[in-house]
Amino acid sequence: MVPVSGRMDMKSLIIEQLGQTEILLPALIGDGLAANDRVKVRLSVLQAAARHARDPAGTSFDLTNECRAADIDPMAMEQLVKSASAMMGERMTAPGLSELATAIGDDVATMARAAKAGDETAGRSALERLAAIQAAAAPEAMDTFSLAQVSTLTGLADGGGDSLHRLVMDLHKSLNRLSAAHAEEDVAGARVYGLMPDDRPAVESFMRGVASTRKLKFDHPGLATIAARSGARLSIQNDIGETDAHVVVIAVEPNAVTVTYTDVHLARAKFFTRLFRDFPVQWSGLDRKSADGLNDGDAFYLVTGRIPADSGKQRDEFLEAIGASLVFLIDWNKARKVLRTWISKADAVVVLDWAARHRFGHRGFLELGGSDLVASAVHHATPQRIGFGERLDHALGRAAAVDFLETVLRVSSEALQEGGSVRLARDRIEADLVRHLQRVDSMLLAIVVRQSGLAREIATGIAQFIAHLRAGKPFDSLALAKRAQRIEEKADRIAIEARQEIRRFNADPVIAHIVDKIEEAIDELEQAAFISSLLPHDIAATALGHLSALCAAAISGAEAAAAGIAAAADIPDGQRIDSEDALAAVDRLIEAEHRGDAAERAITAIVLRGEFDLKSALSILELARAVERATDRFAGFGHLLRSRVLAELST
Amino acid sequence: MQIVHIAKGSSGRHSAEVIGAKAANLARMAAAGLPVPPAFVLPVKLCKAIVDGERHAQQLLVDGLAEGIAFLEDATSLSFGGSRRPLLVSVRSGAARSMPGMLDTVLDVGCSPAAVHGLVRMTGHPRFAWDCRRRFLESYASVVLGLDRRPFARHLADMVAAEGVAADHALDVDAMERLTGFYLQMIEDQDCVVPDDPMEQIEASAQAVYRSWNSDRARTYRQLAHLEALHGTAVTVQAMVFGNCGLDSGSGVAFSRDPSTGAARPVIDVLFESQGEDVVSGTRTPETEGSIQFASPAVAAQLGDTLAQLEHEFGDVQDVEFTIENGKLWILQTRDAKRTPQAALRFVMDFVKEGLLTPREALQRLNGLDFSKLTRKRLAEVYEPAAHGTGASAGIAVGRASFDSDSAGRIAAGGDPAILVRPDTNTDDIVGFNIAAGIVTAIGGRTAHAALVARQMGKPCVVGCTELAIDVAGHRARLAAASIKEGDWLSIDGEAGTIYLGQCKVVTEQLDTELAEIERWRMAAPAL
Repeated sequence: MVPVSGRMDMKSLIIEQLGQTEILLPALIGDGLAANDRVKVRLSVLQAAARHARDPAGTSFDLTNECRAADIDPMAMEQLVKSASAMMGERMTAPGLSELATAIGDDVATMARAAKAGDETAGRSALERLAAIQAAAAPEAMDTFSLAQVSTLTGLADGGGDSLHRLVMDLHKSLNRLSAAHAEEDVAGARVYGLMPDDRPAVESFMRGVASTRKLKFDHPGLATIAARSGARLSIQNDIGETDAHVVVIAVEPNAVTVTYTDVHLARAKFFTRLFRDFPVQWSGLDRKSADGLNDGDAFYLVTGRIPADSGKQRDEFLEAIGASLVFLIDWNKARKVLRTWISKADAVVVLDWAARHRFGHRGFLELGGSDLVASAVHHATPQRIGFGERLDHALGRAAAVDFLETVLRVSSEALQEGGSVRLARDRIEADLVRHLQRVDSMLLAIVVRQSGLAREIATGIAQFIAHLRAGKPFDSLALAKRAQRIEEKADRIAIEARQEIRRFNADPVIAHIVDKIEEAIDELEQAAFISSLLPHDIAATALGHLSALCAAAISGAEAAAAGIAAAADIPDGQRIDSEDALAAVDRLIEAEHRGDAAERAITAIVLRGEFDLKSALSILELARAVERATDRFAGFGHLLRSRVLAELST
Repeated sequence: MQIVHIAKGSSGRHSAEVIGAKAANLARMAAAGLPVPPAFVLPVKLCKAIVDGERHAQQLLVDGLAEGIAFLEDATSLSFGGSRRPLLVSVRSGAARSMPGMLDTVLDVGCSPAAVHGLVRMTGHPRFAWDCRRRFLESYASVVLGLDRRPFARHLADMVAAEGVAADHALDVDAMERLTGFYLQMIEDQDCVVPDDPMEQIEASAQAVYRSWNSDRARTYRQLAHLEALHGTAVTVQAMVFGNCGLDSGSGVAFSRDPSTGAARPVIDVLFESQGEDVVSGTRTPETEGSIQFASPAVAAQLGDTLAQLEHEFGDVQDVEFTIENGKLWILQTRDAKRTPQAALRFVMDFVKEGLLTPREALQRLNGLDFSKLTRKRLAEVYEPAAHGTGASAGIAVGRASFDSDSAGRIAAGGDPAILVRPDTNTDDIVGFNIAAGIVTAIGGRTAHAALVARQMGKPCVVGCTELAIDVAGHRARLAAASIKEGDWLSIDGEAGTIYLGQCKVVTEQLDTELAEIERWRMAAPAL
């Protein structure tokens, strides 16, 4: 069996690259001591093989228990010993002998590396000694060993010369020394090594944070903490969710705390830093790194945050906050992926951030089924209203979708923590979805706002044209007509979509009438823009003045329509000011129609009483009438808006 | 920590060392009864503490912002980022000495989705509401999140092209709303989040503005302008007024006199349906004083009076940022105008004539002016210019065409003068400016930051040359009918705004009349 050769896992590799080896030291010492146990067994096997080669009838193999204790396969060793046979020239051979020799070398190397992590100089000299011994005892042919070599390796050389066994003994001694200095203790659930008395409050603060949110990981493994002191620095490392390349190491120094965090997900690294936005942390990095030994695709991101801490209290607050935040990193990307099927990527992060800040987290949500949980609520509550695979922000509007998913995360977490029934949680989630669907009218009203905006664009275009005529400045009225036509086509498309949505959500029929009205207003304004492009440029100033007033009325109508609808959308859970604003907009819509009417009459009088050629007379009147009809439609819109507001108030 | 409140009737005198020159001038204008949007200032002394990440500084910042926002809400009767009557603010930098465009500003802060709804309720103008939102996203993304601005500009240009309109201000509400969606998507693709909570937005913005003190370009500028002694920037939070909310709204920059030639008439650039950054960024060519007269004679007259009043109040030629919101004039900033040496001379000559300065004061004012630069150069034996633009910094420059700062550096290293030829300029080009003998841009007005810096450096500059099309990557350009490549000789006249091909002859004339007049003052005041 090939022994563990001291090759590190990815997490350790990263920690070593971060220069945080003191955190690894306890584990390395453990590895070194285990290697010590193994190498002693292996050297004994080697001796037994030599004995068997010399005297095949001698005592049989008796290292079974020692092998088991050192986690070495006894069968293989016994086989090796039994098959060892002598060769010419004081040599022996056995299948597996070379492998055994390599394993012995690896064991000693593991011990030396562990010693080096604790004492650089001693470790380095041990590695040099090992290299010298290995060079002197260069292997002969495959699976062949001289018997003299066996004694050199296993014995203690006379006269002070070096031998492998002497090296092993020296290393064992220094590992024992290190181990005594790094005896494991438990501080508030953290495995700690070599702490100073002053370090305890810092570790306890961190662990207080971990403990405060630990329950939110539910059945997921992780959150194990190790802390160790090395020189001026106390290092704390947490396992988070036990995934590779996901490392957090916190260095506590007298006046500052430094967090070093690595992650394969850039978005999660950013999320993590944002969790500490209430602390004056100076973040740097988010560099992409790759560690030796990782595949190319396994690059990770590294970010470092440093916070000055003038007092123990400041330091401990920050440590507690870090401790409490780690549970929200577990399965974060999984939760984000699930949420992304329902809302945008950024909003998914918004929901996760909300859940973390409110200490609900997302693990409960995943435990209760994640996407299936939402899908079944959609399926039960709204089979025909939200299409299969449709995003919730499209169906409900962004704010409502985010609010609903926050509720889902909260309810799942609460249900699991309180040990309540899963069925009850599902019912609560469905009920919340139904509540949002009842509010979907607000989203439909947003379409009307867009339409009103388009009506305003055409009305201001015509107003600008008239202003230029009055100032005798050139104006491209053909471009105006073209633009108006484009806008009108766009508004048509929007209206068609709006009607579909209204049907789908079975919304208040008044909304459909409102959409129709505003579309009619846009049609009239587009007609007015078309006539503008045909208007002679020498229109009498008196008529132009009234045309300006007429356009101003149309603009005011479009603005009141948008403002009124926006206010009306707030009524269901709003304040009195919302209905008051909506009703004030209704007044402005009706007032605009009156002003439009008056201006159109004045224009008619000027034309019919004045000396206009037929073309001028016709175009002025047609323009005035089209704009006036638009203000009429706005007034009609106002009446519908009023009935909608009154209906809302009476529910 | 004392935060300074600025509103009509507040006290006028504050030290620029404490609250920055920009805020000190705002306070003076407010005290003089000029229409200034209410504002509050977090002091310069907080800058270093924030940059160093001192813990108590963060708390001071948070408390100061909360107190200041409460003051602004009270002064405007609006609610910060609210869904009914939202208050939006700008978060501006301002050191004790002006560093135009070198420090960061975040605009339309508070414009969350709820505030978009609120702006619609308040104005009935949804396109305007979305325009504020997309401006906020762009400004927050670039300053606070550190994202590249160029993809935003590209999306905007694509949308303008797809909608078949002339410029961004002609995009309709639907296009603007979709554009905002693209902006959000872009931010999302970088795994960044723009918070919806307005207080969170403003805290991050104020921190970023303080931190912009240490940006590379700010440090370079301080070095070049010998401003290393400055301690930091203040942060001014000012209620937004909107130049983008209708036909009778716009933003502009005005000089009380011509900072290039020194002529005693205001120079005004304005863009209707725009916010201030559109004018100064130099990415859109503005209209001139006549357009304000057309849009609103009353505002034009008020602006003229205000410029005169400001010149009187501050005793020097002023460079003023203003906004017209629904026909109402607001002054956002005033500072002593950067000027060419020629203009500096002309100003004091005129001030003495107008009785604003005594000859003795005039001599003091001219102290430090490099009289050797006070020659008038002109191009001789030239005929038709290859192209015309707007003269933004007077003077003559002859040099070899370069299309970016690096190539200007190469040319200068070879011992020849360089003419920096750019599509538009932003203040990141500062290195190239310093190297170049002259600057030409395709877009931008006389009041763009680039023009401002060129004047201060005394470099001839022609902006808004519409006949210029540059292929930066290909190291070549078309100038009207001609084709130029990197290293070709050009000659420019920064007063006339003309560009000539080739290495024209330059004639230098002494300003004898003016120098004689100064000599006369000197004789009359020998004590100096």
